[in-house]
Amino acid sequence: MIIFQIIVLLVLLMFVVAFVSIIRHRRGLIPTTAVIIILGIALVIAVVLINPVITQRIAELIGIGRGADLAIYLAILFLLLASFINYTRIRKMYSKMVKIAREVALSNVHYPENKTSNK
Amino acid sequence: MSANVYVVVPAYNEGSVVADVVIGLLDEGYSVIVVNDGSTDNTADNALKAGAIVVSHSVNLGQGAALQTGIDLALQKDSQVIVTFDGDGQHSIGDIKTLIGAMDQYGVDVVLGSRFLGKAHNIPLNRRLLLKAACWFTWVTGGPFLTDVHNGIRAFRRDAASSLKLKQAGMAHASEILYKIASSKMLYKEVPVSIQYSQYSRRKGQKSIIGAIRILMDLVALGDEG
Repeated sequence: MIIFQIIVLLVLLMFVVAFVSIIRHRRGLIPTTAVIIILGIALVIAVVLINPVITQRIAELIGIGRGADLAIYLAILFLLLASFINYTRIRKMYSKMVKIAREVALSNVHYPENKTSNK
Repeated sequence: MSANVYVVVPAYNEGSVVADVVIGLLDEGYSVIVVNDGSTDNTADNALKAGAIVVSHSVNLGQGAALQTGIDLALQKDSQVIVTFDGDGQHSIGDIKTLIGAMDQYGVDVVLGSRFLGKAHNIPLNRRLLLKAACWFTWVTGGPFLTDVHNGIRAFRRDAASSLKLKQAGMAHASEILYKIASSKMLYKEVPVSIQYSQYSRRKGQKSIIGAIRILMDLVALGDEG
């Protein structure tokens, strides 16, 4: 193994330890699905770092030239998907905020001097 | 009939024109609800002084949210017909009579104004082309086939208005209204109205292409959930 691989593996290990610690101390903070995905990605990165040749073998199997290209394509797909999911979640949160703001507004209606609220 | 017609006017920083709009509507005997959508100027004060009922969002939420707030308030009152009307002076107050007349004449639940059946004074060419494209897009994606899919002047019978429940806070609400009309099989009619594009309203209007892309993203992202 080269120095770069060792350093990245160490950083990855620290991240996983911190992540698991957060989950254990603050249960429910991160959805289970997200935990599985994050730990899964960490595992894949670790496997690829320890055995870089594996990406080349998979790339050849599916007809892509180089392992590095495969990694880039997968990263781009993942980022696009994550962006879209985050965008829809933000939009839905915004909708909830709008609903609350409208309810607050409707609880404080102003009438002109010649009108009452009973109409 | 005028006493039970509530005109909902969403307004964002329309302090310089909203009073004229309100006074014109009140003179015709309509009840007026101005929804101040987080304005930073004196829109709310001017509307209230002019005689409108005013409800204010504390932050700017978008025209769709403002319309739904106004519709909710109108439904709390004794409204029989609810009209949506832009607060920037683009619409003609006289067209409200046309809408209500068509509602009675054709026995429909919703009447939509169309600038392309009527008159669109000084409409920029890029906006005209984009609106035409929007008509086709709306129809292809399940909405009704109309000549004008983004006109802010509409009239709803009370029952139709109560079923709207708009989820789109921004400009995509216009498309959402049409999809709801189509899916709930409301009876509707398009009638000619006139739109006056002044320098003021053109300055305030959304940037056409960017606005269209944003509307598309909002429709895709939010879907039917809110």
